[in-house]
Amino acid sequence: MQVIDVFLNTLKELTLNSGFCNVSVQQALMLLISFVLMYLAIVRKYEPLLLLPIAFGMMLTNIPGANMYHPEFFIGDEAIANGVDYGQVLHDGGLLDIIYLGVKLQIFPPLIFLGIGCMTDFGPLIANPKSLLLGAAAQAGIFVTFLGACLLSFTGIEEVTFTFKEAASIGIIGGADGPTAIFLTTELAPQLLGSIAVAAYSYMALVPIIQPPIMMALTTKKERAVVMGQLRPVTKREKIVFPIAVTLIVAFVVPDATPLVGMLMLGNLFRESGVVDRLVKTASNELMNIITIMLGTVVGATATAENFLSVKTLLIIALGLIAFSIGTAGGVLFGKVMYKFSGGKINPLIGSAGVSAVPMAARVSQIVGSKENPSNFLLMHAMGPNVAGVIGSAVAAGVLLNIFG
Amino acid sequence: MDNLLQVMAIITEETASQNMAGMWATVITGLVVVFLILALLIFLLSIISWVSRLGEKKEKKNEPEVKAAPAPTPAAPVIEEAVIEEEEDDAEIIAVISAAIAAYSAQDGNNYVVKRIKRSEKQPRSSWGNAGVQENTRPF
Repeated sequence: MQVIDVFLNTLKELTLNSGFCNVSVQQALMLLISFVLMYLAIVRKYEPLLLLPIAFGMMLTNIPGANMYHPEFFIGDEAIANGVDYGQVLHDGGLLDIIYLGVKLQIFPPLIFLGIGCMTDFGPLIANPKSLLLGAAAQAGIFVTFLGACLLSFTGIEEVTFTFKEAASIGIIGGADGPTAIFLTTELAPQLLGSIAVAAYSYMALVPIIQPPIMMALTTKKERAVVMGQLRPVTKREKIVFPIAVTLIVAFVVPDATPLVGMLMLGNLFRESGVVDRLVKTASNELMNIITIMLGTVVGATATAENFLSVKTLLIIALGLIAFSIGTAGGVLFGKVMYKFSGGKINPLIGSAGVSAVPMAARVSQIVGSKENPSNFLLMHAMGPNVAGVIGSAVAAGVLLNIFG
Repeated sequence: MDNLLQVMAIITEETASQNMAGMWATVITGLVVVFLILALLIFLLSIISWVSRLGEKKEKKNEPEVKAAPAPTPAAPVIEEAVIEEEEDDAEIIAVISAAIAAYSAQDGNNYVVKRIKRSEKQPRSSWGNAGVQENTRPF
């Protein structure tokens, strides 16, 4: 008899502790959202390398009782008042809490930048330094969106009111640069990390859909058909000096941008120096993949039901789209200015590539340009503003960090 | 300047409705600093390229712009093959071009008539060259 009692009791306990009895409506909804994101990643191939781990992390974190991630360790009242208690994280934390430390301590995004630096050819930028201006103009999206998010506070409704720190983190979506967005948001508004990362990566995948209508609307047929002259060849010496010089200049002026720009340029120096092929291979493949897995999964894990299911997430998604659109428009409009000043030698379409999203945005410039003139190759010209956009958004993040951090 | 710094110092946890000046200050500072730094980098890049090319005395030839001349064939829709045309009466070349066009028209369903074949004035990048560029830039 006793055996049966124990058996029944255990069964009862097991049932009561199982996810099925404890799942809340919000958590169930979050699980559904994670399935949708997985669908987008697997079937539609929207940035699958990041969206898939993000979606799965989102699923893991919303399984009741699994205790994979504890948002209260990082954004609870106590953590905000006294700083994060790292001892507690290591002692009581779940797997994802421990991995999240790599995001919290700002380790992962700069390491991703190291890999990006190894894969980026800054040659087109060195050959045509003026394209840096296009990379700067496209950052307008960040600041205009910041403005938009700020202005919402005048409605007086608490659900749609963003603090400056939150507004800055939302604006950075317009930089179209995942690691930069994660870097800044972790520091300024960690409670929004999940929403901002999902918005940033989704829109980056949608660049080929978002950008062309804006580019077509803002340019004339004649401007789009401009064929640009061939870029001058860049010497190896220039390519080697470039990363060192950029790091020094940016780090001296905006020290807060140093982790991102410094690692980006270290990776690039590895690449261009030609003497550390093994390091280049590791940084751009294995290391980058390992970090991507961890970064994606934990960023998804920060999207717990209580953080993600709010009016703010919807607003972030709307504002993110505005940020991308204004960034694109800013780049194209500045491209038009340069078209005028160069006497019609610069095709304004390359301006839209200023919103980082390497190399997708440059490819969009190429495709839109080739529609007007099939033998026009804008790709290499667009790579200039494109990689300039990476530097530009890192600098913008540094400025915002400096003001609000 | 001090005033601005004070404005900047107090805005972190606030919202814009509490501090309008902070909001505008951020936008203006942000845009100006980003532009300034990237402008500084342009200046720097110009110096780097000037210095690094100082040693090399090789004059770089400016290659002519790559332009595909529009096909001058009177045959209905314009097609790429018409670019590599020949003025003199060269039966073999005409046969090859006609065959290429015939193969092409079988694909897109239109009928083309070759009435005149002329070498284009400007030397565009050859079709093979174009294919090569396309092949190499496909990963992007």
